Amino acid sequence: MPKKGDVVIPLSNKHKVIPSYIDSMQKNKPSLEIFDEKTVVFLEALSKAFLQEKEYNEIVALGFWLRKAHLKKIKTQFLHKHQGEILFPRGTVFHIAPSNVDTIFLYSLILSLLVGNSNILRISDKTNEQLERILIIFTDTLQSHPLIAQHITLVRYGHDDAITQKLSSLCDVRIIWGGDATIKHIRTIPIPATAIELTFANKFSFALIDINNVTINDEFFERFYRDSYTFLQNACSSVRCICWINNSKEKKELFWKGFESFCAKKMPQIEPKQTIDKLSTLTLLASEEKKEITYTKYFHRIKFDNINKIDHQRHCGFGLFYEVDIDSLDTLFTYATRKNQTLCVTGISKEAIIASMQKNRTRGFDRIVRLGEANNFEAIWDGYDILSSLIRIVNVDL
Amino acid sequence: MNEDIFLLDPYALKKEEKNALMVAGLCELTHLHQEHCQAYANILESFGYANKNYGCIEDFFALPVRIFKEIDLLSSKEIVKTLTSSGTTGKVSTIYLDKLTAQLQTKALIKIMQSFLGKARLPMLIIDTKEILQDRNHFSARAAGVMGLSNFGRKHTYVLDASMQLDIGMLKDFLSKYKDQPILIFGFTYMVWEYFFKPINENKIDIDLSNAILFHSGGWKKLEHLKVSNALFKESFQKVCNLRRIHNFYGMVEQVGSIFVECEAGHLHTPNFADIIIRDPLSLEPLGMHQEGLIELCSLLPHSYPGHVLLSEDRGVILGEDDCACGRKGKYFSVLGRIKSAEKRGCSDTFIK
Repeated sequence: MPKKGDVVIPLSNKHKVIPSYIDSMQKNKPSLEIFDEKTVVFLEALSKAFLQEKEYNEIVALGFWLRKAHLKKIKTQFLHKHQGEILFPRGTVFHIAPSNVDTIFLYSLILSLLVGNSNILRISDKTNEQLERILIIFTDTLQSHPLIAQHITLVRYGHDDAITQKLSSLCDVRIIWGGDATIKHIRTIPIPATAIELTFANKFSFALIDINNVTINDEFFERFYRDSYTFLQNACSSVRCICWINNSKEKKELFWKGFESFCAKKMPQIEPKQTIDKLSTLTLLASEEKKEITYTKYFHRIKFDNINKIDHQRHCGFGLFYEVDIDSLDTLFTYATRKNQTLCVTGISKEAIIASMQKNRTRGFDRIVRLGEANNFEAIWDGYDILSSLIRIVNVDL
Repeated sequence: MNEDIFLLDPYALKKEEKNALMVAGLCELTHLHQEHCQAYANILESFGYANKNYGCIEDFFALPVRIFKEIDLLSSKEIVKTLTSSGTTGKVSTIYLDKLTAQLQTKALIKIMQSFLGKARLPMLIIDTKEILQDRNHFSARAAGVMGLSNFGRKHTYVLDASMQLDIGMLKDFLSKYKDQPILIFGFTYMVWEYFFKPINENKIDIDLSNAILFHSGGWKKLEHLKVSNALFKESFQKVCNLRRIHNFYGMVEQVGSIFVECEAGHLHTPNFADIIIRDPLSLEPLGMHQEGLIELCSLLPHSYPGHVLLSEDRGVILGEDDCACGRKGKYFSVLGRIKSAEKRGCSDTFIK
């Protein structure tokens, strides 16, 4: 298995010096088609293997996402969109994955593989049990799919600009999975003039709730809990702020009381340090101006009297909920910035939301999903159609 | 505050008397800071403590101590001194003292130290360098600690040079000069171990410290890393230089003066004008004796900044109250170390250090 601090290409079971290996990797390999049957067969095998890993929720979710029916749906949508077009893979995609959402690199890789690209993946040298498990399953499955293996190079290294520079010089697409400081830094390292880049910056996500149109029950709490406590609010798509639309204080308190009991059953793991982080953040926010703060064992709430006062930067996660009352959807969509990613909705119609977004030409929110689906990865993410960004479309005009 | 308290032995008050005194004192301080520190008033109001009735010390709002690293909190316009913490995380706490608070800190420290040292000022060996006392108006926590303790000694001898080298000649001269009388040694725990004990031990320097009383403080974080416990620390000094009277103490720059000193029985003691509470790290509910949790510190000294009730990031446990073998009254406890940082998960920056 990969060793810390080394450049390791586990697929070849040999430690090789990057430049020579990468250069030879580029040549003489049979190419993959867009939605190549061999790729689909490989991904099915991978899905089955991941679905066995019952003790790792994130791995199972990945296996579920990879299941045959879902890939078929992705394929149908893609082919429909590009009907009649002449398409080719872009070539080599260099994925720079974050170290703390273990499965992101695979979503990124799979989409790229589906449209026939060769891939270089940089995985952080920081490790954990789940990541190692993923890598074992992944490399094991690849052993029986040698043709696919030729299109994937896993590279593991720490903070080494020389390696990043070499790999960047070889790619046709570079994908940087945030945060902002990482993107800023990697962007100082050039890619070829013909290459393109996709970046996924730090984002801040909301829930939009009309409590009057919701049945307050455990199923509702479960969905709210899943969107906030998975990754303890530290994913870009995690719900950190709740927008209540014309909801009475009584109704909201009813929700929170119920959610408190729900959390007491769930018992999320929050470390002492994280409680202190929350308390310090709240104290700091309160010191500037009087606010309404409520605290319970598993979550803390702070109410902002104006949506524009919401402080993205200071939100620390770990069960901290910002709250704001709005009287119309327009308030939310005129406020929204590029920094807002997911809006988890319940109790409000799709039509009303789309109408308000369009009317206000909103600059924010890349995903509008049902509450409970904040962390479901989709091929359209952060405003990109990832699949379509990874192909080359030839304009044939004869 | 009623300064009559300084007439008493600092460990004289038993549970009921002490609680009454603490509650009255903390109440007075809370109102004082609410009136003179807008940020503090905003915080209390936001957390629903604006018009609270306080019946016991557990009822007060504890400021998370990290807040002093984030913002300036002060309740007085007549600041005579600022203290800063020697932060290991980059950010630094700043504490503002007026004349009254500085005086109270000195008085409190005198009362506490006299309980262990007696009233005479002893020849004093300081395990540090003179260099730290450059700016007299703006002290680092280290300099403030040295200055505070210096009041209890005379013939102050700084035994380290600017590069933290032990001056063995100077040490031997000092010891031979005062060999027939008690001497006081003070330093920060890590420095005492690293720059005093270690060179003595490694170079097999033959010295006898049986007449010395060592006071040391400053956290065990660095020593934990070196796998040195309080027990090993004491044992080593006893074995190598026959030093038996060793007192660790716990305190923080946010509450200078009201320190918690380890007694002859090995327990940290709360003096009359300070107290501690142990809280559950998740619910923040107060815990009972022998239950481990976060340490909250109360002190009647801070008049120029709202630092009278603080929630620390240290773990501790109360071992008893009013019944320590050493005879001192009040709660006694031990500190179990700093709470640990957990790995953050989510899409934050991890590629760049």
